[in-house]
Amino acid sequence: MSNEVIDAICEKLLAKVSSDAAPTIVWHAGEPTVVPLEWYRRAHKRLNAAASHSTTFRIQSNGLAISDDWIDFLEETGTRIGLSIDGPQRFHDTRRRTKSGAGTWTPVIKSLRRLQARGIYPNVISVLHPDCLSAADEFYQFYRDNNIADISFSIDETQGANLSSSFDAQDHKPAITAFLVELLSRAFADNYAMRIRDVERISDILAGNAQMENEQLEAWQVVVVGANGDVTTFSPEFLEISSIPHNGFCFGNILTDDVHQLFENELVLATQAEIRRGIEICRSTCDYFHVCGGGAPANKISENGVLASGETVFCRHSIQAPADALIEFLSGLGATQSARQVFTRNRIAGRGQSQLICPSE
Amino acid sequence: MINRNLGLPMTFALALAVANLSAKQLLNASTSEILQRGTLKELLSQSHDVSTTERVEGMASGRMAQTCSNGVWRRC
Repeated sequence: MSNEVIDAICEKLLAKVSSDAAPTIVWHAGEPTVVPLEWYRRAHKRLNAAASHSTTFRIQSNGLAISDDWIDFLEETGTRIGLSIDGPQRFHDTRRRTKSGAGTWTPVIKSLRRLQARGIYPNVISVLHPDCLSAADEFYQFYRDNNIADISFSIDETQGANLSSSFDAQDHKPAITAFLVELLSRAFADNYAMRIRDVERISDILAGNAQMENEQLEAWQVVVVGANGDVTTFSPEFLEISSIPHNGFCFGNILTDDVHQLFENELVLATQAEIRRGIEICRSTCDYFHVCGGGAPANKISENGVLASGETVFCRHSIQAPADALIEFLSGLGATQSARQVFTRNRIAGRGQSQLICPSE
Repeated sequence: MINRNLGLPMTFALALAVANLSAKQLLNASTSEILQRGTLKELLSQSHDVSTTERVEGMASGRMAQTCSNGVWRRC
């Protein structure tokens, strides 16, 4: 990404953000750390000067290039880091390999340790494949042993450049639900304050803590700028989805278009209208609408071929399964034991007491 | 706010609150009923443990203050 693109982001986008908003700027897609650290230092300085005071910076990495200099940068700038670790070594190394075929689990775990030693506890994204689902116990132990308490799951999906999924063959929703229930149950009984983001989001809504918000459904809640300045909104994955009627979801270019051209683009309005028709289909057909809001546009067009559509496999795996898991977890506690007793007993015994403080908070 | 002060995930805070309900109360409400309502607060309000209900509501109000960051864009 050129300095000109960064300057344009500052002048055309960040200048339009309300001063009381709390936007998040995320470096992601591909592996961001292949770009020299010095570039990020310059980009962060420029963006931070233009952004509101409540802006948060994040980076999502495979963890292979996280040097001490990188950790210094994270500390100095308050940039939060997420690592992609697909659970225990045997699962991670099956698919995440170097060009020479070597597994990458060991170097990533070394990066995790270096970060933790400096007081930085990354959130971890684990991509799940069908063979993981019978190993919930192993996954739990991995997270517990490595002090990983902030987890989200990415279920291998058909979307964009990913033309097929390892989950294509059959309905895996029950198995994903069971996997999540097992993780929650183990963590709760163990007094380990593990946050599974996909479940926590729904807990927050059901507890009345948070309003249901699906930022992918309203134009410009998410703004994605490609390295060449191309701009999209709604789903971040739109940048890699080919759709002729939608001009590949490229709604303009930050270098050549002024902000009015971008924000008032007729193609955005037409896309918004299609997405809203899809929301209404979800509202009238899906039991999970109140904790979802209308699905993910990128998945709808990738799986169903149109935005004005309802349920996708992504919905079943990434929204419905976590919702079912939460209810099953809560119901199971009510049915079989007093959660308060278990929790209290563990606290008195001092097990995992230190883990009650979530390091990422 | 409980989940911040103790580092307790909201899922587990809910679990502690739900543990005060009888199993029958929770199991009688099907998954689809709970999800269609989009809340567990009504169910929690059935609990005789007032402090639990208040605690969950307290968490709710505390968290809301931190998540109200909408209205991202100025008018163009």
